[in-house]
Amino acid sequence: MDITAEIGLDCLRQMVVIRAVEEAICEEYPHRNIRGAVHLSIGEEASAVGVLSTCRADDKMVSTHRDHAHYLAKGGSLAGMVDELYGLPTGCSGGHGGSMHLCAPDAGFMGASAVLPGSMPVAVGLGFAAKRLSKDAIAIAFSGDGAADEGVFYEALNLAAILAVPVLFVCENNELSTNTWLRDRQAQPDIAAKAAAFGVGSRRVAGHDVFAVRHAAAEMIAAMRIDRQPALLEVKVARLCAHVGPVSKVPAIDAEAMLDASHRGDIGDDPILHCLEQLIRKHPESEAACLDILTDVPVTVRAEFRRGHEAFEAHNLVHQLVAPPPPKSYAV
Amino acid sequence: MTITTDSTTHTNCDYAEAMRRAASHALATDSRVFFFAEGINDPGAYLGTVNGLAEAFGTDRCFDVPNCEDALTGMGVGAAISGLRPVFVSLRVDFLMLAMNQIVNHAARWPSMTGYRSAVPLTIRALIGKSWGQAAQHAGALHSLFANVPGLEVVLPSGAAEGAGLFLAALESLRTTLIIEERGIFGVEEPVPDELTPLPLGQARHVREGGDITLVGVSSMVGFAKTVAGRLAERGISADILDLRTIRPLDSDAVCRSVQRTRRLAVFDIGWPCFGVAAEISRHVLEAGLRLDAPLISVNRRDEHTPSSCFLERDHYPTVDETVVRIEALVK
Repeated sequence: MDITAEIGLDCLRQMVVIRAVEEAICEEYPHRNIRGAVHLSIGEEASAVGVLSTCRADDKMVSTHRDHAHYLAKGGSLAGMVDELYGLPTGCSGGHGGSMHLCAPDAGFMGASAVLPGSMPVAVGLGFAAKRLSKDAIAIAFSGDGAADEGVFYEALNLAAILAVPVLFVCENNELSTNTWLRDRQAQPDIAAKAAAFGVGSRRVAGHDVFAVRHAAAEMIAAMRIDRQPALLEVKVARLCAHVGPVSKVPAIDAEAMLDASHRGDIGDDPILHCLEQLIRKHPESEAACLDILTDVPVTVRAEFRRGHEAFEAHNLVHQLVAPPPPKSYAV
Repeated sequence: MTITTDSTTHTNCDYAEAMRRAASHALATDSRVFFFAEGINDPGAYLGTVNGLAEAFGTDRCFDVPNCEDALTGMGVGAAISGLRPVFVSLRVDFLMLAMNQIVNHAARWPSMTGYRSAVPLTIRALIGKSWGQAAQHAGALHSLFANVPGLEVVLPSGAAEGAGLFLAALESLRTTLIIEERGIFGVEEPVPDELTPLPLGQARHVREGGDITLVGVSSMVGFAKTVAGRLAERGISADILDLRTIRPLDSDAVCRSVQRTRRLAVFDIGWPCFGVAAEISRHVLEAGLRLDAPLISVNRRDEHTPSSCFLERDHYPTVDETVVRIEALVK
C-alpha cells in the first residue's frame, strides 16, 4: 500500500514515543516512585498507532488496563501521563487513575476499564451518542483476546449490531490472557468468526505492520462513517513483555542498531523495526529523519520522566512517604 | 379530581401515571433524555410506567433492547459520559445482579478513576416485585448492596408524587442514580402536582409530627409506618415519621434531629435486617452521640429469600399488628 513519507514518519514517531515511555517506566520503576500495576504495550505499538492515527479527536474511545499506547496514540498529553504515573494531582486523572485508568476526554480518550471487557459496552454507549449527536463520528473499543472469554464481549457485539451503533471493536489478540494461551481458553479461538456470528463485519490484520493496520482501520472507519454499523478488527499482536510489571524482553531503543537491523531485514516481530524497514525501502530519503526520531524521542521522553521524578520528590517533601521495599517479582 | 394547595394545582393519580407524566415531561423538555428497556413497547411494560412513550417520542428515544443487563448498563455509561441522559429501566432489581460489573466497576467508579473529569449521569429504574408469589428471584430488595458503593445514589420513592419528583432529580444529578420501586407503592392514588419539579436527593421528608418515637421509613414502608402511627395514636403514642426518600445520600441530620426530641427510634426497611437501613441509621445516631431511652426497633422482611406460597409469604413480611405490639411494649 502507498504510504507517504510524512505519514510513515508520523507513525514511526508515535510508536517510538510509546516504546520510549515504557522503557522509561522500566528504568524508573525500581526507584519505587511509580507505584501500582503497569501493563506494557511493547510489541503492540502498531495496533494503537495504526488504528488511532486514522481517527479524529471527536471519535471517542475506551481502552483497557493496557492503555499506555492507546492514550498516547489518541493524543493524550505525555506530561499528564507521567504525572499520573507518579501519582501527582497534576496527572491526567488527578492521581486517581494511575497507569490503568489514564484519561484525556478532550482528545476523545474517555478512560480505560481494567475489568474485561468493560470497555466494550461503554463504547457502544459512546457510539450511540455519536450517532445521535454527530453526522459521522464513531466510537472505538480496544480489548484483548482475553475479553472474548467473557459473556459481555458477545452482549456488546449483539447490542451494537441490533441498535446499528458505529463502534469499531479492536481486539488485540496476543493469544495470552495473563499467561494462559487462547487455545486453552476458547473452544473456538477464531476472534473474527465470533463477530461474524452476530452479523458484524470483521477483518484480521497482522499487528506488527503499522501500515497494514492503518490501512485496514481506515477502510473500516470510512465505511462506518457512512453506514453507521459496528465492525470488529482483530489485530494479531505479539506481547513482547510480561503481562504485568516493568519487564521488557526487547532491547532498548538504539538508533544505529535498529537501522542496521532493518537494512538486514532482521526485524522479527518488532513493529518499530517493521515500520523502519518499509519506510526506508519505500522512501530512502527519509532515513535521516528516522535516525533523528530514534535518537531524539528517547531523550525528550527521559527528560519528561526526570521532570516527573523531581515533581514527585518535591511533592513528597510534604507527604514524607517512604518507598516500600521492592517485591521479589512482578508476577500477578 | 383537582385539589388546590397553596398556588400549586394537583391531580390525583397512581405511581405508574405519575412516572409516565414525569417521563413525558423529561422527554419533552430535554433532548438529551432517552429511555431503553426490555419490552418497552409492551403496553403492560413495567406496570404501565413507560406505556405510550415510544408512540409519543419515537423509537429513537424510547426503544426496546435485548436481554443483556451488563451491556445495557455499559451502554448507559458510555452515553452518559458523552453528555446524554440515559434512562435504563430494568424489570426487576434482581436482574441488575447481571449488571453489577457495569454498575459498580464502571458507573460508580468512572468519575473517580478519571479524576472527576467525567460524570456519569445515568438513571436506572428497577422494580421489586413484592407479593403475588413472585418468589426469591423476582421480589428481592437489594437496595443496600448498591447503597454500600460510593458514587451511586439510591432512591426509594414512597409514592406517586415522590416518584415523579425524585425521578426528575435523578435526571438532573451528575451521578448514577438507581430508583428502586417496590410494587407496594403502585396502585395508590394521591395528589401529584400538575407542574412537576425535581425533589431534592438526600433530604428526608417530614411526613408526620410526633414526640414519642421516630419512625424512619423507605418506599412502601412509609405508608406502613403511617398505618402503624395511626394505630399508636389510638393508644396515646404520638409518632414522628420521616420518609428518607434516598438512602445514599442519607439525610442523617433529619433523623438525628428527630431522635434527639423523641429519644426512641424504629426503622422501617423493605429489605433484610442485616447490614440494612437500620444498621446505617444506627451508625449515624451513635456517631452523633445520641442516647435512646429504649432499644432500637428494626422492622424488616425476614432474613431469608422470599417464598412463593401466599401462606409462606404472609410470614415473610412484617405486619402492622406485630409492629404496633413491638412499639407499644417499648414506649410504655
